[in-house]
Amino acid sequence: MSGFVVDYGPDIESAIDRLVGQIERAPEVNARYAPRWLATALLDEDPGLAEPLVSLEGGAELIVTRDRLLEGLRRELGDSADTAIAAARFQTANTIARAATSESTHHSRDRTDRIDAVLTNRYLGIPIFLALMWAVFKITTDIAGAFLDWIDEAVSGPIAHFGESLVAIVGLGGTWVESLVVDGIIPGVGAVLVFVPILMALYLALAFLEDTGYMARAAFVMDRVMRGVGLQGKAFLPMLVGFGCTVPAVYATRTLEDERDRLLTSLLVPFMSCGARLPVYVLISAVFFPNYAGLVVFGMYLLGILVALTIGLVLKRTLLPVTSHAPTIMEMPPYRLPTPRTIWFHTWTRVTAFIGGAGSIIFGTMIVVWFLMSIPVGGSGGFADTEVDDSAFATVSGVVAPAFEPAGFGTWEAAGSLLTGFVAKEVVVGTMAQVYGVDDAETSGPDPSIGDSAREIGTGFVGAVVGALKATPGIIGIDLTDAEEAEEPSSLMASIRTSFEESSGGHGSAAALAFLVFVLLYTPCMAAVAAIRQETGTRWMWLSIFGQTALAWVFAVVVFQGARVIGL
Amino acid sequence: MTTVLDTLLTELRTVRGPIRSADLAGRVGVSESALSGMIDVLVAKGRLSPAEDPGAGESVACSGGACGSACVGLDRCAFIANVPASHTLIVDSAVALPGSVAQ
Repeated sequence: MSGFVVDYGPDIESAIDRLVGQIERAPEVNARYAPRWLATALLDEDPGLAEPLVSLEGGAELIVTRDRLLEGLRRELGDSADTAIAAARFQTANTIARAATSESTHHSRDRTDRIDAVLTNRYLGIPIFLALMWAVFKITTDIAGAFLDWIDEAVSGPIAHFGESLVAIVGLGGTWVESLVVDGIIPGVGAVLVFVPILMALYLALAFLEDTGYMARAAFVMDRVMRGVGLQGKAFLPMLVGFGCTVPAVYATRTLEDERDRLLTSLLVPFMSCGARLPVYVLISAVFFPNYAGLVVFGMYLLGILVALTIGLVLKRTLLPVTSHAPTIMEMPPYRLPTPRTIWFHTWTRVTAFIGGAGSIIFGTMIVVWFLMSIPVGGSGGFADTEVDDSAFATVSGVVAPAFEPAGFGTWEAAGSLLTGFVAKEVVVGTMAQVYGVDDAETSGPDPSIGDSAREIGTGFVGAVVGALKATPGIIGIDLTDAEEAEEPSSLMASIRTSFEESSGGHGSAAALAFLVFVLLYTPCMAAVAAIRQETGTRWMWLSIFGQTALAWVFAVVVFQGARVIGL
Repeated sequence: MTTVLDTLLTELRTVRGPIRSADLAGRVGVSESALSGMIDVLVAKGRLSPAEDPGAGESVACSGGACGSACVGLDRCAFIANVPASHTLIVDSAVALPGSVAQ
């Protein structure tokens, strides 16, 4: 572009002229560099110039002059010269762009912008986000639910038979080892593995949303909400992480510079419903709200967000008053059409990560629970040969149980399940499978052959696929499932229903809802408590533990009593 | 002279909450790619603060699949939320840029 010169304004232009004059008086430098370019680059503090320049005659003097001029400019401009140079360049480029294009002042909206205009709209953004999340949970519970029964039957049938046979083969049949395997590990671990299809469906749906670029928009939408409760925009990041697991979410608060924001976010993150709570929601929903399971699960996630926002508002007006938060620019990625291969890869790696990570916690806790359930306290029988009602686990849980009577689930079984939930939420369902005195394993009669077992598993899988296909149109309200095909509840589900109905005086559904709310709101797990202590200190950790547990209890009581009043 | 960088900061100061870079580019009257360059300059000058890891740029918000498990590499994350790159206005940057005059 011959003859084109950027006007940097009078102060900088004057400095450039001084340098150009000096460059022209230094032949070596003048021969090597264009004077105006070099003068501008020196004022711009180009880091690559100093070294080659000092080797030339007159170069060192140029740098001395440059430094003196920069000092003067800093006083004149109130800032460094390179910022003014950048601003002038952008101004010139913008002037040229406006002159050269017909739509220079009307930002052309491509497809991404048009979609964003709807999805991140100030008023539509949150309803759309909630609708999509509802669809995710509908897919999770309705479609994946068909596979739940298949795994349940496989675990309680062929796999339980296999475990029992294996123990007998090694000569330990009839001993405590058989009890440990058949009554402890298989039902406990199996009860959690049953929910792998649910998690797989959740991860599949989330992977789709992530790969399309929508989750970044969700973050944008949620950012506005965060600011509403006095948190800076970046606080949405730990909140999002909290939907996976509370522990890394608490650590993610380190990204917040403001101490008050870090503290407040750490206290709110545990209210985000982590993935480990999902199996509890699905199990209880399947027992008490089989036709509204998706809605109930979605409601739990939503309630967690609402409680967090409310607590945030309360703390903002009391213990942690808000400081001002600066505006934020967010660069949205373009929308993309995800490939099935990528989505499957993400889903599979996450499911295997869940099985691997959760497996060790569940396995260990199930052994501890079985051990406590095998120790007789006051009743008849010896170790591993006692009624569960007379076990150490029942005795300890029974001490806590009365506290839950106002919430409708004041039994040692429910209390015991919640107690183990302090260790990790994954083990709640596993504990329920053990403590509800369920012997789901169909171990009576002759052992089926390996071929029969394989056939049974295969037939069950085909049935699950058909069930999932029939349930798919249900997402848009078309019900293809046969009303007469109503699933017969498993003995675990029947046992839970009976227990909740008895403890609540015939208001089992109200008690179940209260139980779910308690699971949602009380302390996530010991690891989360340790993370909160590390990030906020012991005082806030105790506030978090007692505050959350008290809040969960109050909410559970209110929900139970309220639901009972409306006839649930 | 009010430069385009001044306009950018002025527009940003009027925003309540977050703003998409495309919207800000529209307000300033530049393309999004030009805005990106301007943001880099303002970050270098301490006028904007980029989001720090793990929320910055291409990074993601993620967590493991089980209680207490953090990510072991992004491929193993159970929950990933692609977080948009974000830059926050530093409150002290109300001062006009050099070469510009107050309006």
